[in-house]
Amino acid sequence: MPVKVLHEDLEKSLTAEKGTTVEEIIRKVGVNPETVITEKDGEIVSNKETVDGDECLHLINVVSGG
Amino acid sequence: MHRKYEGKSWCGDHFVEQFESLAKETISKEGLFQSNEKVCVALSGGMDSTALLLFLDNLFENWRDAELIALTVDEGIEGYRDESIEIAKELCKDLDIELHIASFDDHFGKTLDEIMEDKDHGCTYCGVLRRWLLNKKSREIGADKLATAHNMDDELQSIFMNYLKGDMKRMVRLGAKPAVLDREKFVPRVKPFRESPEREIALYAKLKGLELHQTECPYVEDSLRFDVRDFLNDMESKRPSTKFTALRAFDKLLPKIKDGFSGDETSVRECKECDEITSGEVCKACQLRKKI
Repeated sequence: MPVKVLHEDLEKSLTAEKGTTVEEIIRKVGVNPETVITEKDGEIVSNKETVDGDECLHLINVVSGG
Repeated sequence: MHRKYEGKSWCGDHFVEQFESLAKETISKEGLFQSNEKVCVALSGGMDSTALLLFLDNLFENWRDAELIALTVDEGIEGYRDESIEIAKELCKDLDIELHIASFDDHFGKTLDEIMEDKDHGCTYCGVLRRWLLNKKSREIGADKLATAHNMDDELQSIFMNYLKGDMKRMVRLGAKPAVLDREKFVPRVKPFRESPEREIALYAKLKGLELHQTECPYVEDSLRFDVRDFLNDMESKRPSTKFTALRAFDKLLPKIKDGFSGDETSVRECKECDEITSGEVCKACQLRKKI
């Protein structure tokens, strides 16, 4: 099933099996889950939550710049 | 919200409650505030400092005689600081908190953008001059304490960096209530979020409806701090609770480190040129001022 991920002005599309967790998706796009929080439809989602497909996850960086 | 390091998940409300409890515990355990104090929050307008101001405003509502004010340093970074200053102004207006703004331009005669026209290493200039200004200005506005939004990640990065550089003198200055200097010119600094992970501060800020300033500073440069930050995040990701364990271990060592490395190494005097406090003859800010 398709999942869209927005991170740092980039949009990445990937396919994931049903039941894949948000954390697994974050890792799939090469991001450390420790460094982001995730939103779906403007709401924060837990890294343990699973995706059902046709979803768009927005990864927000939380690490400070200096 | 799932906390991998404790193997538990929390709903938004309970997460906020837990987050605030941890910060309150730090404040109480370390005795960060006393009654009748005027506390100044170093407010950049970024995620951590806006969350700290909101948290302290809520906490101080129940504390009679405590006063909360905010201080923003405007380094003069176009397209970056001007955005976060607007966030800071808006928040202070909403919370009815007195905001003071101190600019590099007014105090050093140049903005950071102007200073960096013919220089490298913006973080060095910015960090030294900002700390100097925060102490001077917070003292001038009568603050008893300067509360900064340093979080667990910041603290651990400093611990590891100092360790890797063998800089025990700076190690002594760490902790929730860094070395309190008995000097009129020194406004003691406190770090209520010292035990709060950076990621959880972002979640707290989001859940509290704060606007997150997402723009990256244009002077950010690759540094040892970034290498250490990435290492710690990799370790935490592979071995949850690494950060907590490392901080606890440091806290057990800190009294011993202070015993062994305080004394002359933390002694301070007044700078020959600006009268602000320094550990040398001339403070770092004055040394840099000569170059700008």
